[in-house]
Amino acid sequence: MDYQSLWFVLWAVLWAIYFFMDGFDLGVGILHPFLPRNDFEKRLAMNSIGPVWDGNKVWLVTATGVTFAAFPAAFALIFSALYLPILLILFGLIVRGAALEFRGKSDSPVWRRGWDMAFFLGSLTTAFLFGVLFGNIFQGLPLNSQGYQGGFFSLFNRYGLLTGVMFVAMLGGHGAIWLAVKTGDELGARARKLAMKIWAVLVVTAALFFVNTAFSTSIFARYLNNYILLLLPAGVLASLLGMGMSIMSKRFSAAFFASGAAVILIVMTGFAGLYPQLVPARPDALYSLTIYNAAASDYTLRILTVIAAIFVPVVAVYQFWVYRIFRGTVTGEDLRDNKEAY
Amino acid sequence: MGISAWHILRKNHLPLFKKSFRIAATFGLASSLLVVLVGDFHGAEVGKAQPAKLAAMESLWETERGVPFYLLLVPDPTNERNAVELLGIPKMVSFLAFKDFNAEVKGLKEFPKEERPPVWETFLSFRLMVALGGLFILLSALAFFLSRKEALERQPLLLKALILALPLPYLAGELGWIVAEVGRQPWIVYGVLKTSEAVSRGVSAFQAAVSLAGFTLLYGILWVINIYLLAKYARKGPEV
Repeated sequence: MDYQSLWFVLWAVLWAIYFFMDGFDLGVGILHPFLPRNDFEKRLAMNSIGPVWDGNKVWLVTATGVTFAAFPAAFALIFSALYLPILLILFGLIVRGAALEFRGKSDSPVWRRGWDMAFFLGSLTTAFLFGVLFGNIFQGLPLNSQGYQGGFFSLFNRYGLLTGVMFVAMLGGHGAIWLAVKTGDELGARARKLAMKIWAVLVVTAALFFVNTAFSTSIFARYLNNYILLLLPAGVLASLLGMGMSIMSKRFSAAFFASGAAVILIVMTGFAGLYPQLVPARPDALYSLTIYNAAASDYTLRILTVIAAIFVPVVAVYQFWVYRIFRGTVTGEDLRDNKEAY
Repeated sequence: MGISAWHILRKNHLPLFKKSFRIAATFGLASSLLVVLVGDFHGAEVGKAQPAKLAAMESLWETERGVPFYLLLVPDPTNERNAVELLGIPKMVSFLAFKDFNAEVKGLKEFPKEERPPVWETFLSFRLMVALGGLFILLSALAFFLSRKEALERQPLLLKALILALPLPYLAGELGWIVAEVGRQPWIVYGVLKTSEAVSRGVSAFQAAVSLAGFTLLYGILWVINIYLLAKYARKGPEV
């Protein structure tokens, strides 16, 4: 395998890991107005992701950094062409981060309701727009020799919107299961019930996504050249089934990993169908960015490989450690005893 | 120091805040002195790497040896000279930049007009930053010596000055950024790529304006909230 292909795989895997890791805390934000009913429950929900949500963002930095370092031409194109939606994602991430940190700093109900809304809207915007963004990349962007020919609103086409909605359901479901595992009492019970409903929505939107992928993208065309890739959509099916069965049999830790597998595999299904393109061009594939015409030099890629081989495991280990320290459920006593709690 | 001063003026938890004041004054004095060293390293580096920036910081037009540092200086960029040059410390600029009293310092006229940074902005920001740095040494030295004498609460003037000085280090930091970023114009990669050549072709002026307005608004709101929270927690003092 050449370095370009290796970095394509890493690029896809890092984005998938990001959605797996940050996915559930974005999901907790999306469910914030619906699931926790009072101030205490809202605090429980926020504190369940408290020690880990900002660490999860490291994977966004890594995935974006890899896009920049390994495929600078793709980075330049995506971040110029999709400037406004990426800006909105950034605002969403800023606002929800501020909401988590600031909400508990005053007792005023207006203050808290305001930050609750900011947490919800920031999370929803981020999840939805990431879906729209990657939907459009999977589908291909209108590119010619002059660059990007679409606008902001043309991104909200049928396939883009559908991917956005699926992302909201996917991350919302991931968040519901997280709350089912990490909180008890009434909030946990409600999360367990809601998980089943979101699962049904996710199955429907994922089915629509796959049907549309077959018709409006050339993603599956690539699968016909390499049958082993069919394991990815098969894995999506298996993990969605496993997720549903685990929720039904109330094994929520299993459901969490099944839901995470579904997130990773759905994202990977899209990415795998791009190879060797990074951003397909419509209507003329001539203007596509591929792993060869958008990659940094072999020398850069070699250095990156060494850096990634050292630091990605380091990050993975320290994050695993954090999750281990904060294992178990979040309870009222945790909030009372801890002055740093949100 | 400012927050401790506020509490000492109000006689809140005097022993605690006098102690925190002393610690803050010690660190304040040490760091405001060390900043001089850092600034000196930085200035020497600028002299070597970005000579046009150094010339704009000092508003120096002609290339000269043994350049003096004028305490009072008014640039006149339209006529490529300085309107006022008074109270010069002989050979100081040469010494500060190159550790040699007779070193040659390049003036702005050495560079084509379109490759000179805006003089007023760079010069004024630099002067103000350095003046603030001097003020920090003065204030923290005063605070340091007076806090040894246990008579802090009888120094309302110093305490009030320290409260007023709270935002100044932030201001000095921002001014430093202005020197660094305005002073390197028109280059974004020094001597290689001009800022005007580095603009994204795919991003329209409208989109750039929207993002600038959005960032200004969002950060403005977060800034106000942040100040409110900082003030709230600073006022609250220790929990009993």
